[in-house]
Amino acid sequence: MLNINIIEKKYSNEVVLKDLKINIDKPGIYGIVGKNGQGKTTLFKCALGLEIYKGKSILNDEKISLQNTAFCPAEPFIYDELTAEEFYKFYSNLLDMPLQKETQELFHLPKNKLIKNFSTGMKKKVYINAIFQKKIFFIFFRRAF
Amino acid sequence: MKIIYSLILIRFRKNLAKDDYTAITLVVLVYLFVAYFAYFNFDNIGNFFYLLFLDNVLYHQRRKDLGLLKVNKRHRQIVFSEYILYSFPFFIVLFLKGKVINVLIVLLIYGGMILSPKLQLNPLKYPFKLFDPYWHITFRKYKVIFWLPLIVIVSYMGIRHNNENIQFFILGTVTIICCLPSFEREKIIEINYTSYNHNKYLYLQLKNTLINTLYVIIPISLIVYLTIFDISIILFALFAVFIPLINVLLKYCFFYSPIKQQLGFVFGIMIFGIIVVTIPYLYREALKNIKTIKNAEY
Repeated sequence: MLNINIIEKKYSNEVVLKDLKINIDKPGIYGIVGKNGQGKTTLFKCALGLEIYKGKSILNDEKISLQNTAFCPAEPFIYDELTAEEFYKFYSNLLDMPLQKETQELFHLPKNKLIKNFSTGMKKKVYINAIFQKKIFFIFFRRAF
Repeated sequence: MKIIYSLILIRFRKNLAKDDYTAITLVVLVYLFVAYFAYFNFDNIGNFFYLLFLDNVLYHQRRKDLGLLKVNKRHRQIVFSEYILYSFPFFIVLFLKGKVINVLIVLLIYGGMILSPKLQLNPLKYPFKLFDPYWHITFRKYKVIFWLPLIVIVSYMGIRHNNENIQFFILGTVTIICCLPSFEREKIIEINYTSYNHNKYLYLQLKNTLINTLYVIIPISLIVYLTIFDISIILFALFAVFIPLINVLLKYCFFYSPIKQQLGFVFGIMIFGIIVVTIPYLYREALKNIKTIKNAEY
């Protein structure tokens, strides 16, 4: 069960989020819609503990962190000078996942091409392949594709 | 002509401020001096002179404005003229030396390069461990693999002139190359993401650096050793392996201040004894910093 409770989030003196409560108890795909600058990304970052805020965010009785969730931002954190396969291996090392003989990638991507030559959508797929190696209960997407 | 002038200006813009005519004049003077020097030492420099024309080839491969230039019908002529103008003093040297055929060969290479589609070579596969991606990135970004033939040439020159110090210089250079990845920083979110605690994370970073350094140092040391059969080369290599490891510790000690890391590195190289004595302190500080980054409570 996901429970996000943001009492207040401020940038300097400007309140961005206030009294925001989200409770999700059924598995599914949920979306948040809003205008630019309304605080959608801030909400994700707060829930993940990447921003200072007043409140609490819980997932299955545990505090939400990058250990029990995943976050795919609008512009994912990838290395342009690696291939998709190398990036996958890098994340498997980082997440302490045993590397399979055949990588269980969600999306098929060219193996012998540097990520810098990929389109924006393909770059996102590289990142999703990497973070989905781990069994996670919840993933925050910012603009999926 | 105006477009060509702008293109050359853009090319220099990375290093020179806008409208800084003093700097532009200095660069032009340096170019002329190189050409002047090359003219009077042409026989000594030999075929190395043609490396000066390689700059345009490398630049052409990485430039991103070619698509934009295609809006002009004469984009190929523009780029071709830009390269000729850029290397003009060196073409003059070749002309004055009567190497007209070689001028034509260089022009043909430039023309072929502009007419042919951009090279899409498969990236080289490196054997490096991927706990730190910057080994791959550094070797690709700086095209380090292409420095190796240069190392062989320098090594050969050292043997030819009975200068064994050059072999030590080569190993020193290779050691510095192995330190380059640890001057880069992984993204903080990756330290947050990792399943390892701070102790294991630092241990794995050190292990990764050691293995990758050995991949580079062992073959180079063996090549150098087989050329002069001096056991001190092997001893120097054993000592050199520790330097990238110390740089990893310095990186995490000064994670938010690369300048301090660089100063610590230079200081450590100059007075190696002091840095060795401070290893336990550096190790403790590195651990402390990783723990702070990983468990940052926002």
